[in-house]
Amino acid sequence: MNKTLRLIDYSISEAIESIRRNGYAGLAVVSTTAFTLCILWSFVMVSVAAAGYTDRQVDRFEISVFMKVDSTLEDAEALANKIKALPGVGKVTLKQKEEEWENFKIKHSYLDAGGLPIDTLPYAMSVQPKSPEDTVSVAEAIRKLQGIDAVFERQEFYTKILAISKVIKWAGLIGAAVLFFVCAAIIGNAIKLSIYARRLEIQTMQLVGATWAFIRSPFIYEGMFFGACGAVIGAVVVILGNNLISSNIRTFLKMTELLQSPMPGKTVFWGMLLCGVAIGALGSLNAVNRFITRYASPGESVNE
Amino acid sequence: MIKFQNVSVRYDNGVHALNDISFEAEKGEFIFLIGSTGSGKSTLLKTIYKQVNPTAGSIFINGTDLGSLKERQIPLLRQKLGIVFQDYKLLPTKNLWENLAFVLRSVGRDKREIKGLISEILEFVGLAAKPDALPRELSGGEQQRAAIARALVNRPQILIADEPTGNLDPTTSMEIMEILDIINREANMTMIIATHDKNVVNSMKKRVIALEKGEIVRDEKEATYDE
Repeated sequence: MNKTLRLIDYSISEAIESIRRNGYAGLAVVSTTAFTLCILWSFVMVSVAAAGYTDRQVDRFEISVFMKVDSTLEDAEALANKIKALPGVGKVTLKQKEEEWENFKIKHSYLDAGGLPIDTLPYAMSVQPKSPEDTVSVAEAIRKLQGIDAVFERQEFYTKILAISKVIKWAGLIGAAVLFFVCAAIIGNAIKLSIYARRLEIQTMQLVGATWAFIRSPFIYEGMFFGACGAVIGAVVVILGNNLISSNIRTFLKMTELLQSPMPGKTVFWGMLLCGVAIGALGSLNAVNRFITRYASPGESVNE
Repeated sequence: MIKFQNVSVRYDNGVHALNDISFEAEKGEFIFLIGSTGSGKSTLLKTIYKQVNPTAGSIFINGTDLGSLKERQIPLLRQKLGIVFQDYKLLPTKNLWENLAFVLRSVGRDKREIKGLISEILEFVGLAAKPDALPRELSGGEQQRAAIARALVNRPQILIADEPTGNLDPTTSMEIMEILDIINREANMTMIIATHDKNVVNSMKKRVIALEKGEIVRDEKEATYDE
């Protein structure tokens, strides 16, 4: 067995021994970690959902242009070309009267639309600006063109939606980052107790020339174990909770789009597990480094 | 092997623990460090295993200046040293075998190698019959022999002992010193032993370095405790 494998073997067996000795204290760490990770992951999911919603809304920024009723197809095509040439315009879609008429009849089936002529519908087109911020200026430029009856843009509505969505996204990300460190601190604290209980072993290891990796890695494995256990429990809670929301609340609140689950259960599980393991490793590494620096740093001047 | 060159240690509280210490120890030499409490014996030993850094001067081991060692190189230095303490510092929750195995595993030794090394050293210190005993189940003399076994199990080049007989009766103290003497002769291991024990020093007649207020006041070969 080479030295790396011996290090892993040694670290795992020492970590298992320490976890066994930790007993109920370990259980407390796992449950606290699970709780914190649940909150953390909820923040992440809300944040991802808000980001997804924002992206979908950005794609929908469009300006509706209606021509005068007496405009011909040639007029409409000429106008479409003029609009395409305007600065800030991304895409122009000319709507065909016949298709629009069929859609109109379907949407407004309560009206006796059969008796109305197709010509009562004006030629219309939808214009997508290159950037949502250009909506107002593009709409203003279109209004100045000839043959136009009306121009509608919903800039104000979308701007509000975007602002709210951005706030949710950033709050989620900041909250998740804060909770990540809170969680790491919780695990680090538990590891600190474990380190304190094993301080004599650490000092002995230092005196006999145990290397950095041999001293620290059992604690890091221990932290990763606590993080992983907390993550698995947390993932089960988050997945079940999400399913509950999907099956019940969404039926009543017609906010399906915003409440749409941003990630499948598998992603939640693996994501949380990875997060828990990373938090555990980080928390323990921090705790063991602080202990060694404070109490047992090699070469540090100490009083007799 | 070991060279102290004008070494001084001043603690943060202003105490001068060592003052301009210079001496050399050859390979296989047996040295007693003597002096009253607070004379600087323990500090001198700590500078060898870099628990304390000199505030002036240099220490060389096998020609390497300890001051030039990076933090990550300190474990390699310590793997060449065996350290024995007055209070043994055995791990109370591990039995004798585990105490030794722990040391070897923590420096990355192979499991099969560990078995052979432990059996050999326990035989040598006379504890082969008690591998499963916890430290509290051993007598003071046995605990110190266990501590010596732990210090030697990784086959160091230098053995450092801080008052190894401080808690032992005269007979047990002599037994311990005999073990150290045999190792010194058979393995040609350099030994630096800090002690107050006049009987031990007088009966062994080894090199004696006497410290007083952090300074060397006597350095004699085949010497006794008192001048």
